[in-house]
Amino acid sequence: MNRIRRWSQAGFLILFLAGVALAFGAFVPWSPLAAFIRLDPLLFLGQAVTRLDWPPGLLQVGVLVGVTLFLGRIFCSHVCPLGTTLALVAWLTRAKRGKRFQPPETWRRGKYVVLIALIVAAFWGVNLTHWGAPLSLATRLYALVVWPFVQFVSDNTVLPGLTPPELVRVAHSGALLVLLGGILGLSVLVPRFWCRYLCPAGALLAFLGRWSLVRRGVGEHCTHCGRCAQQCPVGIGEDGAVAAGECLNCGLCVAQCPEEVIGFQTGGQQRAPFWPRRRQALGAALAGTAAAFFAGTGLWAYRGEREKGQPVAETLVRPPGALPEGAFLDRCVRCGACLRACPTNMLHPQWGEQSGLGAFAPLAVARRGPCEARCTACGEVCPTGAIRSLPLTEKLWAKMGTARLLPSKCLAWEWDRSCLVCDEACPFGAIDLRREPGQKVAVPYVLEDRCTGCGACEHACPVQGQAAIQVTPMGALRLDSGSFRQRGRQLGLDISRTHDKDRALSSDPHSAPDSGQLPPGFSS
Amino acid sequence: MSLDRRTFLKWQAATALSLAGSCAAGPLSVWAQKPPDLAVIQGGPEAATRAAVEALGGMGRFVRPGQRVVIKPNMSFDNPPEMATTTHPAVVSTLVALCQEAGADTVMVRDHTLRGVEQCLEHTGIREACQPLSGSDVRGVNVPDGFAPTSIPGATHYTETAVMGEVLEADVLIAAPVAKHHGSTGVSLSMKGMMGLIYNRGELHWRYNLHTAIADLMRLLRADLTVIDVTRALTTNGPSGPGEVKQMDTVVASTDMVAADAQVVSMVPWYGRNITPDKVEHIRVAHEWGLGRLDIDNLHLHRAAV
Repeated sequence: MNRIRRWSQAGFLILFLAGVALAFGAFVPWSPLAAFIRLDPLLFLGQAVTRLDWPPGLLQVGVLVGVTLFLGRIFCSHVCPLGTTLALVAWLTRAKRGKRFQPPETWRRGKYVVLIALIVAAFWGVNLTHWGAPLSLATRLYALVVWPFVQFVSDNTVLPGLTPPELVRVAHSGALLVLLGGILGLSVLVPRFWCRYLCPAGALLAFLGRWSLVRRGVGEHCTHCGRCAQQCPVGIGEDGAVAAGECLNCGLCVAQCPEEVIGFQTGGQQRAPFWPRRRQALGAALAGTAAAFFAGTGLWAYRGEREKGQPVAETLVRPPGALPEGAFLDRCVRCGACLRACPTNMLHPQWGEQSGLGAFAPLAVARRGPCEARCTACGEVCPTGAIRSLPLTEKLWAKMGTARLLPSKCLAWEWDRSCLVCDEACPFGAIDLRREPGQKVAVPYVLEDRCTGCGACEHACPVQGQAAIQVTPMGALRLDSGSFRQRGRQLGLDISRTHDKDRALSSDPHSAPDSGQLPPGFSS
Repeated sequence: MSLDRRTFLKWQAATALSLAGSCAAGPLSVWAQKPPDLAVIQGGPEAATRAAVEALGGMGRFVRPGQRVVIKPNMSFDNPPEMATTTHPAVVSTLVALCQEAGADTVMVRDHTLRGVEQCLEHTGIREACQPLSGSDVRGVNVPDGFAPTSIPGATHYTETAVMGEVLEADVLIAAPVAKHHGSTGVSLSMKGMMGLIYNRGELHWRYNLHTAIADLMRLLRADLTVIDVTRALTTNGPSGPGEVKQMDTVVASTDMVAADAQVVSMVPWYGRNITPDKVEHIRVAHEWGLGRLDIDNLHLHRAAV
């Protein structure tokens, strides 16, 4: 039983890590990461309650519910990559002597409190389940903290060339570190502290697991020696009994029992399950409501386009194909898979820009990297469809925003310098260089109908600090269904990698002056 | 490293001189005549490239057995060859083959690409064209690790830059740009193309005068052989296009980067007009500084069709 568990844990952790590793650039289609994230029952519930529909992953979660009703919280002990990680942390830091701190049993109610708060917030239309969903946390941990760290170390020491050439950087890594460090750190104090007392997905499975068919049972000849309690990852009592839904059905105790009286069988007897007191449940509901209120009503929180009094944050540029902002925030489970997948490191976790509503959701930061015209990785890897998986022809039209020129910073406009790097960088011919009276060199203009907001110009702009050309959310196409291409054409957009020559010439009459003046770049 | 290169250049110049001397003193042969300053060959990309190099005395004049060669095409954009924003793949692969035939030890095709390296290598067709030539090595270098800080001898303002390390270590440098318009420098040919071998291009736009800096860069990165792909030319909206592409079926070659660039400026109708080379500031500056000649009318030009 223990061997099976260890193999299962190792296998799923390796599969998960392979998923994280493969979720990059061209390898995305082979990555099992998205399927893994869809296993999280809390993420499923959070989306379902917030949006009142069936999110992707019904099959996975259905199977998980079935398995839990049959075998109990076996997911936590055999599958969950965060659980395995925390078990590893506990094992690596296990005390040689003496007993660890054992929190009171009543703390076990904590996870239900967290669960209730998150579900209530979801009822108010604010999906915050990503704060506690183990698969979100595990992906964030490995993709956004562990992987960049490994790369940093290997890059600066022994194995240069093994990792991608440019170091992956992640915005707000401090916030990530506090959150994930806290969860890991608690596991050092008390093994699987998170799983026992806090994990809301664990609470969900515990709730189902109390009715599970196969349960841990202790025979009559138990001598109450307490050996099982020493080993138990969830801290059963000295008497060897365990409350329904708390046992992870891991089987560690079976091997420890000198009397061989512990077994997992159908209809085993367990103590009454934990459940928060009424006041605690009400408090949790209130906390969830408050969280929804604070997250959803700050000045910078923006739901849908142009609602009264709700300005659009200037820097809020989402990945191409992201759903309309409201739906996007409901669907996005902040796993960070897209951040990992982005080959140019353009996508970064958001932090407080939207009153916490958008915390950890992906933002496109063009100064860091442009959106590759031929890449569809973020949509492909997204487990929930918050970023739509689009074929390339559609993705090109999934306009992320529009570049805006700041002439006062521009080398050509303000400094009379020969520069056209934005024009050079633009894959869509959306920058037009024109001769203007009073300007010594040809100066750039943005042709808004050709701009996809990919940020190649902003990324390449040689102006120091903030670029002289910046992508704003203006004109972003955010469609929850239908064709971006069709809608873009309706709106008069003209997005193409290869503009036919007549249009290219006719739309920029200034660049080919007919009399006297030389074409851009030449000088007399 | 730069010292090595400079020393080498001097050595090479001396060898070329003595070679020319011995040829002149030798019996009558094709090589007894001084090779032309410029070769302008009409024909398909492969045939014209071969003929152009042949007209200058053959690749053996530039590449000796065992040497390391860097070919610098323009493969900075992930556009197909038809857009004329990148060098024709057949021109590049022919140059690689010629170097190999001349006995080169290593032939490296290198560029610091503007767009993503993988995308550029794939969509320009250059990697695929070179693949059948075993030993060819086509790569984009976009990370700082591949570049080494180097001083530019003789420059007054633009005195130092980080240059692709493999170029500093190479024995021979061949410029193989495509003929195209450029919105801020008029044209992007062999001289402008050398910006693809340095790391920090941005500072040429904001710290220095772009035109004089391009001319200064030539002091350091002076190609031993320049072969310009004018099989088609991007005559408008360069360097990234899309713009008007004119079919020209020509390859221009020279040992003088300035002369080769000047020749191409004068033969391509930019925005439908005839523009003289002196209208391109970096060409004009390089000529004034004596780094090459833009007065192509005074040069010995070999014109042929294949």
